Amino acid sequence: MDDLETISDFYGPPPAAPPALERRIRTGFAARRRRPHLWPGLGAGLVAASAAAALLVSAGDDGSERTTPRTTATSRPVALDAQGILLAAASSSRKEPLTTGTYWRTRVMQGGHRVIPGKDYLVEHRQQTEFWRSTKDGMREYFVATDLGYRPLDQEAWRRDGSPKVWRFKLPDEVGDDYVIKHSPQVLRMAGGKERVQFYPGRSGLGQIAGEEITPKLLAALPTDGERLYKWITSRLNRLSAAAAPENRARPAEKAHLETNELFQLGVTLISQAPSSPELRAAAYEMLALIPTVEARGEVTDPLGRKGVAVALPGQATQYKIENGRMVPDGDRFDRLLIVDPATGKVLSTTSVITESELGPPGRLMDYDAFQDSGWEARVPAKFKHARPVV
Amino acid sequence: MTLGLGPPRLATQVEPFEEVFSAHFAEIHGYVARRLGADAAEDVVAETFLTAYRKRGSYDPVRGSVRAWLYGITTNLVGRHRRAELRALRALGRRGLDPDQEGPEDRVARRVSAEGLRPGLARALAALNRGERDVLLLVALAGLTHEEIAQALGISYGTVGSRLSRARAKVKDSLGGANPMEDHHG
Repeated sequence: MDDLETISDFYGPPPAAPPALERRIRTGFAARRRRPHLWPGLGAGLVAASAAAALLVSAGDDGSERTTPRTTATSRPVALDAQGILLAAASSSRKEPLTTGTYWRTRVMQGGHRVIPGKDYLVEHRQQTEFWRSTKDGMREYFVATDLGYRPLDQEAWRRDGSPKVWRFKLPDEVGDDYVIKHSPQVLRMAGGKERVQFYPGRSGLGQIAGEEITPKLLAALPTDGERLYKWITSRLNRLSAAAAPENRARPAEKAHLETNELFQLGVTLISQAPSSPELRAAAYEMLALIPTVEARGEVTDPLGRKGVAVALPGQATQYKIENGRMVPDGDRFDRLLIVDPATGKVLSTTSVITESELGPPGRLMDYDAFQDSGWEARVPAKFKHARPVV
Repeated sequence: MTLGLGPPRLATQVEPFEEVFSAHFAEIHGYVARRLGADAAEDVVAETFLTAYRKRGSYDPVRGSVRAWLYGITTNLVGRHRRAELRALRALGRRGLDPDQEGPEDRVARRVSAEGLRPGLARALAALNRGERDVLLLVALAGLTHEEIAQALGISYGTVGSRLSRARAKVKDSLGGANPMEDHHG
């Protein structure tokens, strides 16, 4: 035994970590996650800043029509039901020729609205983002993002407020049973930031679905038929659930909810984000049409002012909390909308709209991804050499 | 290692940070509990992970492993309990517990004393400066490499080496320079 071992011996063996502590910490994560609108600036230079800012909302009136087209359903009935819209989009996709390239580039305007305590107008945060998805496993995936800052959604109310270009405020501490979250002072700026280029180190930028990383290899292996794609996901979710410790398994009531959410999420990802073949994109539309709770929302104007038709997955929790070791939907509920161009079957935007929340009235737009253009690229620009990793 | 979040809310449901937590919770807890005792460890460990969660955007994988990064955060937080840690070590150094000092640190002392009292070693550990003790215990208890410690503490590789050798020299003196097993089990 050397001196280092003697020291280790002196301190004794490490005691077992208490499960109660583990739960307490997980509750802390969940509590922090539950209020993403409270952390517009999760950290300087943080990639997630915009994502957090994009999930913002709160109570109060808003005058967003003035400067930003809202996603609002018209009262005019549309001939198509949700299944009709989705199947029409599927058949448009199947007719498209298969094209390929090294990178699939997608340009997206990402936005979100939030309330500033004491102000009678909402502000909108926007970020211009371009994703570079790889088509070979192991290739780096990148994104280029420019923070466009905050802007008031009601110019007149903003002028009455003295036309501030910076908003500073303090949020109250959140006190839970065994944690306190102290918020640092909030500063929202009208001025945006510099462009930054980042890559996802050693993983897919598309994340996971049903426990599997969405890689080019997985995309190539996915069924290109809606019904089989649906079963592929549900059977994997069932397997994951069966493998989990009993206390971590979703309760039956949550299961359908989680499954639907996962199906919708993957469908939307395959349609709008992934370098999917036309066949796979069509399958994803068909799969969405099989989700029983998906409903039509008629003709809408997307956040960039474009006309389209919307289908919605209503009442989804976008946040989850962990209670007694289980993941459960949080109290706040939102509709997830997929807005497509009925002529081409292409996605215009995905949005989240409040259904039921203390954060604002039903129908208010919370956040959006508006797809501007996409295409194949042979190589990445030289500036990508200086890309920083995403955490 | 997957950590943190991508820019968009465009995919994934369970945050990868949960995976980081699951992978390192028991280890970090073990380290802190050995140094500070189970009671103080609870707060330090909770704060370590909640701080890491908050700061996950500033974690740069180019600079090192997630593990080293977490040990860096936790070492900082352990530092806030330095006085309690030293009190416990000194109490052990006096070869007995002070019944008036009923605090979390005494639990360490009690546990440690059950393992075999080494007042000389306790005194030597208490006499190290903070930087030396951190480096020594990151090696001896956490098994970190020099490089990981450099990453964790934000110091140079050379500084890790010099602190460690100073710390080991002081501790070896306390062990009498002979086979430390002799007086332990001997």
